[in-house]
Amino acid sequence: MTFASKSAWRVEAMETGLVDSSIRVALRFLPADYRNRYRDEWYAELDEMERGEVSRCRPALRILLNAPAMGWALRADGRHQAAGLPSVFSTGEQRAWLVFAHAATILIDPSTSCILGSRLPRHVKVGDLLVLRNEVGLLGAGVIDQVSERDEFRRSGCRKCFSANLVHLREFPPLYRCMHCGELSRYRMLIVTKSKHYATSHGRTWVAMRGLLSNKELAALCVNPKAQSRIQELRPGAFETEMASRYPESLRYPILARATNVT
Amino acid sequence: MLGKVRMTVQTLQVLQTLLDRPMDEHYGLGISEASGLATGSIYPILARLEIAGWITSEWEDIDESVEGRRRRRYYRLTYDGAAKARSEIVEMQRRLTSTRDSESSGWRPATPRPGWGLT
Repeated sequence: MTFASKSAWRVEAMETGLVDSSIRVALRFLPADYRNRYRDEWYAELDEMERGEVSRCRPALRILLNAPAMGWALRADGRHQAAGLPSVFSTGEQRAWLVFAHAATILIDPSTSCILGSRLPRHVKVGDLLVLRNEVGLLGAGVIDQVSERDEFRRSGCRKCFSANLVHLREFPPLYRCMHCGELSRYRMLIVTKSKHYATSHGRTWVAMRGLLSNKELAALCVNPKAQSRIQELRPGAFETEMASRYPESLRYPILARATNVT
Repeated sequence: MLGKVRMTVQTLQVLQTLLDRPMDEHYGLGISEASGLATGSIYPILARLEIAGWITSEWEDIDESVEGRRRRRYYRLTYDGAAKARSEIVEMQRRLTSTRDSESSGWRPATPRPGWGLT
């Protein structure tokens, strides 16, 4: 390796390090729920800049400089909710559902939509409270704005074994590792399955509550605590009361305060 | 119902870019190139507009491994957002016009005379 090529390699490595560090710090300013989304969005643009042979350092530093303002703007949603500004509620009886978030939903955006599966429980309707969990515990809750029927199931996955279990290894250049077959790839593959399924949207009232309750604690709030199904009904007001007793500050959110006022 | 958004010159520039081609899908880099704003500075504006319900965003529906690039996040004005954006831009133009007219009609700020405040 010549001196010139060695220097170029060093400069590139420094640039990559600077970009990675800037984005990592910038993401810390954002609410936890938005970090994955903006990480993907920012890296997509930096990736395009790299292909256009434009330096990525300056845009990455600008992103970092504007991150506090952005975090403030994104948290405004929570502040508006806390102030009792408009939120969507049905006037009818509200039921609550505990749903295991599908791996594909995690890749889409659990804060905005959730895939319910090919069979829609008869009683799930607009205005119901949707409580999402993953294999660790609670993710968050929101009121269902819309239930839609889709013909295709779209998800990202490994290009070799199609598993959705991908881990983001490195930011730039992006690198994913499949935890099923070990394949390393720079881009995820889009896998489209023709099957009818139902999905909800609940982004307008979503409240992030990641890790505040474990799966065992959530199961205790269900109508049938020993049921193994992916969608389970929660006892009326049980989730809201549990959250209010453990975390009184959660009453700031209308979707949780409503049921506790009734009971 | 649309929320309020603090109107700055940069916000108006972003809205103007989105309004130029309201049916198109705009992504961050494209918006920053079209509006002339720096890449990093448009994201707080887009976040504010999205939370207020003026714009919506969604991921591009592509196969990353086929396209050889990451998916973009596309932004689009909502129906109400587009109407509100137009009215804000018209309002800003009206204000600027009235300021220009008042300047051309002969009004001038009082100029201090020499010696004022000394006697």
